[in-house]
Amino acid sequence: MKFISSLKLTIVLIIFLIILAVLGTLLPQNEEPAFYQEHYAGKASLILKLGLDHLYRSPLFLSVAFLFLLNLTACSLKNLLTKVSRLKVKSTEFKPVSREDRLLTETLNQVRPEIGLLADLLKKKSFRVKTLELKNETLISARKGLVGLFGPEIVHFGLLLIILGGLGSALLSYRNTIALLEGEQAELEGKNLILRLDRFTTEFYPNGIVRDWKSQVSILEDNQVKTSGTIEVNKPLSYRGLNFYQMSYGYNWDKTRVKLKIKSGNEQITTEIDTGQSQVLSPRLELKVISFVPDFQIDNTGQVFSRSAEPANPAVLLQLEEDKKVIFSGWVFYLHPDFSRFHRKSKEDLEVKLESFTAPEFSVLEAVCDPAANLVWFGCFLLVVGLFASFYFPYRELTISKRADGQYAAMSLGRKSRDRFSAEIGELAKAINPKINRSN
Amino acid sequence: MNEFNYLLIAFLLYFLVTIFNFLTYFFRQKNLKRISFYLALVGLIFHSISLLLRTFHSGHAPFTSMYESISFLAWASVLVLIIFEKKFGLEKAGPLLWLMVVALMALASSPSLPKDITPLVPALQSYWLWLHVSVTLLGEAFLAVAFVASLLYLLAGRENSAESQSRMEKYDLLAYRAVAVGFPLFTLGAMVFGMIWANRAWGRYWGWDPKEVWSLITWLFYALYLHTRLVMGWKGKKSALIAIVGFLAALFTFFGVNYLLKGLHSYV
Repeated sequence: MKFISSLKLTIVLIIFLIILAVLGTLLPQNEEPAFYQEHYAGKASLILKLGLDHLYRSPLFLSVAFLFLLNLTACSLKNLLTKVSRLKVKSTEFKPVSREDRLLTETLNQVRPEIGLLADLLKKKSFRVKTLELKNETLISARKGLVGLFGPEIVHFGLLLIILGGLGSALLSYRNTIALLEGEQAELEGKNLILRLDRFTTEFYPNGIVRDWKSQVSILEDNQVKTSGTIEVNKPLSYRGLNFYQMSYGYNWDKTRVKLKIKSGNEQITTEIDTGQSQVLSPRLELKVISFVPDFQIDNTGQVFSRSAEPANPAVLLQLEEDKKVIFSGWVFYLHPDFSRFHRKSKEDLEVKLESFTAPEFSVLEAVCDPAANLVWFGCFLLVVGLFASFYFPYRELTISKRADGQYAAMSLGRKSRDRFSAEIGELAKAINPKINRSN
Repeated sequence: MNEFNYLLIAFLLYFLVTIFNFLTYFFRQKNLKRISFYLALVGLIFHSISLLLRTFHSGHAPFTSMYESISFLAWASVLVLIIFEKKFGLEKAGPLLWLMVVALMALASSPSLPKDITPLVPALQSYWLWLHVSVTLLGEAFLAVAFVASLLYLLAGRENSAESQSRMEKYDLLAYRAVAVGFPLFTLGAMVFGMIWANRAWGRYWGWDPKEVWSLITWLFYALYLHTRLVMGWKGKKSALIAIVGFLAALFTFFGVNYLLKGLHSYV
């Protein structure tokens, strides 16, 4: 128990947490094992064994966090009990320790003021004063900033709630990411609700930068619209404990509609066609659009893939038949219309150009239900209140004892603003005996 | 006059304040000290006008680009220095602290930082931008004071005179006071307001994004500083070293993460 509640353990754990957190930002996370084997040859097995590839969920990190949680709880309980017992004014048979305490004790013994007078002086300095008659002495207990005394425990309790809440969120929260095209709907698993995207718009600034995405949605229950609203980034929609966020957007390139210009000799045809469709252009000509990629790339095996979802190098795969005979087959590029390496044609004067393309835009929404977050918010509230109480209203305690033999003794406690409290005690000594020389 | 001219006037005034601080350091002129205090106030007024004009022209909070953020950090630092000077007196720490402000102003006004007003991307369009960034940077301005005071402590420690001893005690105390005020502000602005905003924008309050993790690392360093000092009684050199490393972590959170690590906070 002593080990678990020791501050040395706290210090060691904080240092461990710092080291692990730094490591987690330097080492790429959540990659495939092959990635680590390629980039961290000798250390890959250690990385994978310790789970450093998903460090913040690794047993190593969670164990340190768990120990920290235990330490925090034990420390807070221990300190809370000490502080509660300190609230009771009792004789401690103390000896003045600090310079200020000695100065005040000396001054008190020189002047020997009335207890009532002392109490009044302290009250004037906004102390809460209690006087206690004991067997062999009279005690004056003066306190200030009582909320500051419990500040650290409030902070620690807040942290405890935040960590527990975080754990709760990780284990219990409901998250469902849904990509919808306009007019589409999807059922939210386990919620008996349907989310429908009625309208999706992207607004731009004049310089082309996205200003906002707006998803107009309806939420249906038992085939009835229960609520409708617009979701924007920073403006989620709430319904029955679920929050709906605008997460992302994208284009459904599989449903791209392309505009093609086909030229053969003097004949020229311009047509629009959806990916996957065939079109009879003339009694002899038939066009078939097989696929579309926004960012054309070819791998070592000759397989075509899209490097990204951005239209960085759009290309369309098509086939043209004349009298049931293939006269053009392969890829046509939007940005490089004359590039012919990836298509074959049997007629020299045949030209196919990709004039333009449009793909339906989809909205990526996320439905979140995270009741444990409330614990985190309450924890945050306590964390902030506790910190401000501790450092902005620091606790100060001054106890003065007048013993049966007429001797005085003073003891002060105020760790968080020692210097200002010392000055205050100096002022008090001066008020008791204006002739006092502070350098004594 | 545009906002940048007001910034340059403030820069010039802060530069004068720094020179006066150095003169006070060597010649102990009380009048110079008073003049430099008022010059700092006038500088802060000009700087405030610059920030207000920027806000007015851009229509959003003045800390969405590196130029704006550094200018605001310098503004917050000057505010902190004025408060500390008035309340406790900066004494021998003045020159280096003002040199830090001048360095920030030089960086903000340097041509290498673009000054164009850019529209806000959707994620930044929130009143939490005001709360999250302003309170964080204000807290960091206090932590910067603790950093400089700790550096001065280590530098003064190389001499072995009675005067340097008393000076070191003052630097040590100044650093603690700055952390004691700055840490709660940093916690509120960076951690708590950050979490609330992240939850509103991205549907989760914590996602182990590098900027989030580095804020936590900074926070843990200052938690270490306070625990070792208040409970274990560490003072002086060891405390100074933690305060210095803590601020380096804050600097990395502010600059390093944007340029060296990938993450969601790539706009500022």
